[in-house]
Amino acid sequence: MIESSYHPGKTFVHTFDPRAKLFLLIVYTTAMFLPFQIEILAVYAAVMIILAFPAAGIRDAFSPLKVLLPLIILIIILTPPFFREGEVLITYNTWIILTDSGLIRTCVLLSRFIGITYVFFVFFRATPLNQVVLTLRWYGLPIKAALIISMTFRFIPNVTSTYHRVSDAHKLRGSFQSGMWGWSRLKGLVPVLTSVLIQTVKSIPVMSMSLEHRGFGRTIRRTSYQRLRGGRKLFTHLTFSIIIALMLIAPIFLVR
Amino acid sequence: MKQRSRLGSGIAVSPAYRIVSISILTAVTAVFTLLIRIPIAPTRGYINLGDVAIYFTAFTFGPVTAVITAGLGTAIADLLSGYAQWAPISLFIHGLQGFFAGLIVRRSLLIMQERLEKNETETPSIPSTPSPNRYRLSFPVILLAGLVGLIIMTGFYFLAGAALVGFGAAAVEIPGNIIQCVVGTIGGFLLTKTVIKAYPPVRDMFL
Repeated sequence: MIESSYHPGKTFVHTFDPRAKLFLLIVYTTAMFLPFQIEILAVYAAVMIILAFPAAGIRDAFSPLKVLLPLIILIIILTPPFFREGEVLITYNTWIILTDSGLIRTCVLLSRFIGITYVFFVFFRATPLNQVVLTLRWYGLPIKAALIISMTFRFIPNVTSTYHRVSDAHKLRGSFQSGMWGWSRLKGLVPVLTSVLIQTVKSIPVMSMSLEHRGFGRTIRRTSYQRLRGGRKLFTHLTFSIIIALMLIAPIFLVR
Repeated sequence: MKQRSRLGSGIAVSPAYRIVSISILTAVTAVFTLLIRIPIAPTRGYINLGDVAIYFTAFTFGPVTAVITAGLGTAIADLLSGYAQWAPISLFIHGLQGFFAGLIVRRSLLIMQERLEKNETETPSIPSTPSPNRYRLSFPVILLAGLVGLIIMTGFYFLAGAALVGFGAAAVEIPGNIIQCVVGTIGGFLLTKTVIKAYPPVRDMFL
C-alpha cells in the first residue's frame, strides 16, 4: 500500500538527485500556470508524458490518463460553452458550440492538467518516499514535521489491518455487510469505525512513551535523520535543474 | 520543550504525545480517505470517509491537531491513490477545513468552561467539576462547524478546480463535495459520540 507509488528502476529519471527533481517539480508546476502560448504548454505536457516511459515503464505510463479520462472528457465538453468570443467554428442551429478562443482555452486546460498530473506521476514513480522525506528535510523541514510524516507512513498499515480485522469480525456477526450502500452502509460502518478509532486512540500514550524512551523531547536527541549526500553529483544535478528551470520559464520573455 | 495543557484539565501534554497523536490521526485520515468508501448510488458513485476522520479529529482533538492531520492525511491519500497533483490543494483546503471546525468547537468549549467556572464561584458550595464533564458538543456548534467546513471545502475546491480544469468541470464536482462534507459532519459527530460513550478518556484529549 505504501510503496505502490514508487516504481524501482535505474533510469536517468530515477538516478537524478531527488532535491533537483523536487525543485524542477515546483518550477514545472508554476510554469504550467504562466500565460504561455498553447503550443508551448502542449510541448511541456508531451515532454512529461515521454518522461513517464522511463520512470514508470511502458505499461504503466498511460495509467494516469485512464484514471483521469472522465475529467478530461468533462473539460472537453464543459469548457467551450464559457468562451463565446472569437471566430465561430461549430454551431448547431443558432447555438454556438465552439469558438476558436474556446478551443484554445480547452487545449490550455488539458495541457496544464495533463502536464501537472504527469510531473507528479513521474516524480513519485521515480523517487522512493523515504527519499522524499529526506529531501524535504534538506530543504529545511523541521525534524518534528519529518517525524510526523514518517510515523504516519509507519502507522497506515497498522490502521488498515485494524480496520480489516474489525470489519471482518463485524461481518461474521452479520452486523455489517459489504453489499450495503448509502445511509445503511454508513450506519453499518459506525460500530466498525468506533472500534477502529478506540484502538488507535488507545495506542497514543504507549507510542508516545516509546518515543520518549528513544530520546525524543530530551536535550540530547538520541536518534535523528540521515542526511542526503552532497558533493559533485548534487552540484551537477542542481546546476542542470536550474538550466532546465530557466529554459522552462524563458518563453515568457522570448515569445510574444 | 514547551508543554501545552489540555483544555481545562490542566494536565500537561508532552511533545512526544502530541507528535504521536498527530501521526496516528493522520494515518487514520489517510486510511479513511483511501480505503473506506460508501457507494451513494447502485451504479458508480462513491464518497470517501476522509471528512468523517477530519471532523472526528476536530471535535475531539482540537484545531491544532486537526489542521495537520486533515491536511496531511488527505494529501497522503491523494499521493498514494495516484492523484498526486491534488495533494498540495488537499493539504491546504482540508487543513483549513479541519482548523476552522476545531476552532469553532474549541471556542464553544471555552465559553462553556467560563460559564461553569463563573457559576462555581457564585455558588461555592457546589464542588468543582472535573474537566471531562465540561466536554459537551451542542447541535448548533456542530452545525456551524459543518457549515463552515462545507463552505471552505466546496469553495476552495471550486476555485482550485477552476484554475486546473476550468469552471465547467470544477462545477460538476460541487454536489459530490457537498454530499461528502455533510456525510463527514454527520459521521464525525456520530463517531465522536459513540467513541466518547465507549471510551470516555477521549473527552480529555482536546487540546
